[in-house]
Amino acid sequence: MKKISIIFFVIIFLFCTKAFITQKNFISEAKKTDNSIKAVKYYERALLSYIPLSPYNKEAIQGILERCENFKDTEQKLYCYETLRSALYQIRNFYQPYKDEIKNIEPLIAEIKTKQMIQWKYNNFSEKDYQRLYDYHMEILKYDSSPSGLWSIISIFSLLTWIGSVFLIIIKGFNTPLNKKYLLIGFVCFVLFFSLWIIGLYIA
Amino acid sequence: MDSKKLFLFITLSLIVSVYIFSLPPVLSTGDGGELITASYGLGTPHPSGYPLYVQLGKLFSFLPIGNIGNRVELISVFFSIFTLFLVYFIVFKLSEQNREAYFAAITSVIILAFSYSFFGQSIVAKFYTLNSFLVMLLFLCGVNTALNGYDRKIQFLASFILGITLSAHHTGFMMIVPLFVLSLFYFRNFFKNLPLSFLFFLLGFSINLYLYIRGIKETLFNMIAVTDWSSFLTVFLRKSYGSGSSIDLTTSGFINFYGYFYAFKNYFYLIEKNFTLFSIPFFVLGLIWLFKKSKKLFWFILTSFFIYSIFLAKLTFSLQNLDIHDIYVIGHQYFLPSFAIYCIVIGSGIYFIYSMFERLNLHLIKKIIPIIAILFPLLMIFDRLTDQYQHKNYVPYSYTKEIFSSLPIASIYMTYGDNHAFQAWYLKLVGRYREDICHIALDDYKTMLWALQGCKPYKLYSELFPEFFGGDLIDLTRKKRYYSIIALSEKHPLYRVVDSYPYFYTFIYMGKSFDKRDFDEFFRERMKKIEPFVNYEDCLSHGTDDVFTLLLCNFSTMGYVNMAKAYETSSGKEITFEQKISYGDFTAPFNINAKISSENEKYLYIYNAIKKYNKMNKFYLSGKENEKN
Repeated sequence: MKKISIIFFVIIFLFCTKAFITQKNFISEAKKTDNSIKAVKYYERALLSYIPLSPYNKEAIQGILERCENFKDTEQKLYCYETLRSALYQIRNFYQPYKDEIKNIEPLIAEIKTKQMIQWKYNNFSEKDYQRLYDYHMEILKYDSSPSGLWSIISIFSLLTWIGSVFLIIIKGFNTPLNKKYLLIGFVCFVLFFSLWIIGLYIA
Repeated sequence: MDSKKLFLFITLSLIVSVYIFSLPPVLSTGDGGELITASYGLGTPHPSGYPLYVQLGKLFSFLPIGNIGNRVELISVFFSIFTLFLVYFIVFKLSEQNREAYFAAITSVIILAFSYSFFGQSIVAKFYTLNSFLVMLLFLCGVNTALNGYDRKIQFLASFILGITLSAHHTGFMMIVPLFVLSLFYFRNFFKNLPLSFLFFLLGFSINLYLYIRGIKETLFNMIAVTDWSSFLTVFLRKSYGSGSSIDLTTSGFINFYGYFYAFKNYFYLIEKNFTLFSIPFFVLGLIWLFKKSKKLFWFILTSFFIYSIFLAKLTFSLQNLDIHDIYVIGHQYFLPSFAIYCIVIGSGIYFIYSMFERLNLHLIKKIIPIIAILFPLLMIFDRLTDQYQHKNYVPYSYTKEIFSSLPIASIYMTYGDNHAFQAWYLKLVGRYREDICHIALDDYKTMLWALQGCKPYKLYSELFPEFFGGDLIDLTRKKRYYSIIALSEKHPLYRVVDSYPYFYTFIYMGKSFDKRDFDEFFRERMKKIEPFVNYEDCLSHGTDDVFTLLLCNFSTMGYVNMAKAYETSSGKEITFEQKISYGDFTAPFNINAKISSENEKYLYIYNAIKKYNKMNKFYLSGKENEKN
C-alpha cells in the first residue's frame, strides 16, 4: 500500500508540474499574439490545464472574457463564450470551478444563438419567435445529464472496497486452518459494499 | 530505502515522467473520446462495455487537476507502471534474487516501457494497460504456483481475477488456458477446490452487473443500453460485430490452420519493430534458463506466451496482406500482454548470461555489464519522444471544435465511423460545446440507422429540430442546416434525394430538386465567416505518428481547398485537387477545382504543408512494405 501511495503521489506531482508549465506557456503565448481568436485558443488551453488555486486560471478566464466583449462579429463572439463555457465544463471535478462565470455567460450564449437563428435567412423565423427560441436554447444549456458526483464516488469506492474484501477473504481467511475472524469481516464488508455499489450505481 | 529500491524507484519515476509529459493534452484519437465520455457519464461504451475501465475512469475524472480527458488518460499511466512493476517482480522472483537478477529485471522493465506499442498504449485513454496488469497478476499466480507448489488461495485468487478480466478486455480471460495447463500438475487439489473457485469467478464477473444497472437508467451516454438478458449478451459477447464477435473470433482459432503461418509472420514483424531482432537471442536464452529451472514453469510460461502471441494473432492478425489500419488497430494494441511476457523471458535470458559470467569467474565484467546493459534500452526514450510524443497533439480536439464552430446554429452534424463520432461525443457531451448542434452517427454507410447520443434528450432537441424529428430531412437541407463528413454516392440511401457539396472540413446536403444558383454566393460567404477559426498549426506541430491523427489532418486539407475556392479570382490558375475518403470497405473519390492566384495561394501552401507533415508512412509500425500501399 505504501508503494502504491508513493507511485500515486509521484504521478500526481508530475501531472501538476506539467499542467503548471503548460498554463504558464499558453498564458504567455496569449499575451504575445495580436490575433484575438488565437488568444482565446491559448487562454482556453491554459484553462484546460487547470490547477486549483493557480493564478493563471483567473487570468485565462479574464483574458477570454475581455476578448469576447470586444468581438464585433456575432459568430466570433459566440465562439468565444462557448469556448469559455466548454473549457470550464471540461475542468469540472467533484465540484464545478467558476460556476458563476458559467451562469453569467449562458444567457448571452442563448441570446446570440437565438438572434443568429432568426437572422439565418434560410429559416422561417421572425422576431415573434425570439422568446420561444431563446427558451429552447436556455433549456438545453441548463440541462445537465451527468451523474450525481456524490453517488458516483460512493459507488466506485464501494466497488473498490468489495473487491478488496474478496481479496481479504481469500488471502487472510483461507489460511489452514480457516481464519474465521477474517472470513466474517470480509463477508460482512463484501455484502455491505456490494449492496452500496449497486445502490450507488442506480441512484447516480 | 536501500540503494536497490532507490534505483528501481528512480527508474519507475523516470518512466512515469516520460509518460506523463507525453500524454495528449485533452483527448486521444480513436476510442479515447468515447471512453472518456462513457467514464464521465458512467455510461456504456462500445461492446463489450468495459465496466471496470469506465468506473475507474469516473474515479479519475474527479481529480481536480487538468481536464476530464487528460485525467482519464492517467489510468493508462497508472496500470502501465503497475504492469512494469509486476514484470520487474516476476523476473526477480524467477532468478536467484541477487544483484544481477535485480539489474536484469530493471533492464527488462526499461525495454518494455519504451517499446513502441507499450509506450503508445500507456499514454492514451484505452484499456490495454489495465488488461495487461490483470494478465500479469494472473501470470504471477501461475509463476508462484510453479515455483512454490499448489496453494488453494492462489487458485481462488486467480479465479476471482479471471472473473474481473471479463469486465475489462476479454483477451485477459485467455489466461485460463495456461492456468488450466498448470493446474493439471495438481489436478487432485485443483478439482477439489473447483466449486469454490467458480464462486469466486462469479464474484469477479459480477462487475458486469454495472452494464444492466446503468443500462436501465437514462444516462449521459450509452452506446447500446443493456436492459435485459438478450441485450446483455449482445453487448457482452460483442454480437454486433458479426464475425468479430467474441465467440466467432475464438472459433476461428481452430479452423484454417494455414492461417497460423501468417499469424507467426505478422507477430514476428511486431517483435522486430518493437524490440529489434537483437532481442531474440536473449529470448531463446531465457527459455533455456527457464527450462533448466523448472519444467512446470517452462510449460506455463511457454503456453502463456503462445496464447497471447501466435494464437491471438491467429484470431485477429493473420491476414496475408496487412494494411496500416490492421497494424494500428490490432497489432499496436492487442499484444501488450505477450510483449510483457516476452520481456520477462528476455530478463531471464539476460540473467542467464550474467550467471555465466559468475561461472566463468569474470567478476569485473559481472559487475560492470549489468549497469551498462541498462543504458542501451534507455536510448529508446529518444525514439519515443520523436514518434509518440503527444503533448502537443491537440488535433482530435481542435479539429472537432473547428467543425462545430463552422456550423450554423441548430444544425445536424452527421458522422460516420468511430473517429469523428467519438471526438464529437466528447466535445458535445463532456465539453458541452455548441449544444445547439444535433450530432448523429452512422455506423453503416449504406443505411440510415443513426446513433443519437449526441442529440439527447429528444424532448428538448425535437423542439429545436422539428423537421428532423418529424422525418422531413429535405426541409432541413432547404434551410442549409444539414452537414456531414460523408460525401454521398449511389451506395448511400440519401443519394437519391440529396446532393452533397464540400463545406470546410465537411459536406453540406441539399435537396436534388432545389434551385442551387445562390449556392456559390452562400459558400463564399460562409467560408469567409469561418476563416478566422481556421487553425492549421495543430496539424503542423502535433509531433506524433498516431495514425488517426494523421488521417484527421489529411481529412482537414479539404478545408483549405474550400478556403482557396472561396477566395479564388478569375485570373487564377485552375488546379484540380483529388480527394479520397474511405467509408469502411468503400472509397469515395471526388475532385475539387480551385483557381489559385496570389489572393489565395496561402491555402495551397497550407494544404501542401499538412499533406507533407502527415504522410501516412510516418507511422512507425507501417514498415517499408506498407509504404508502397
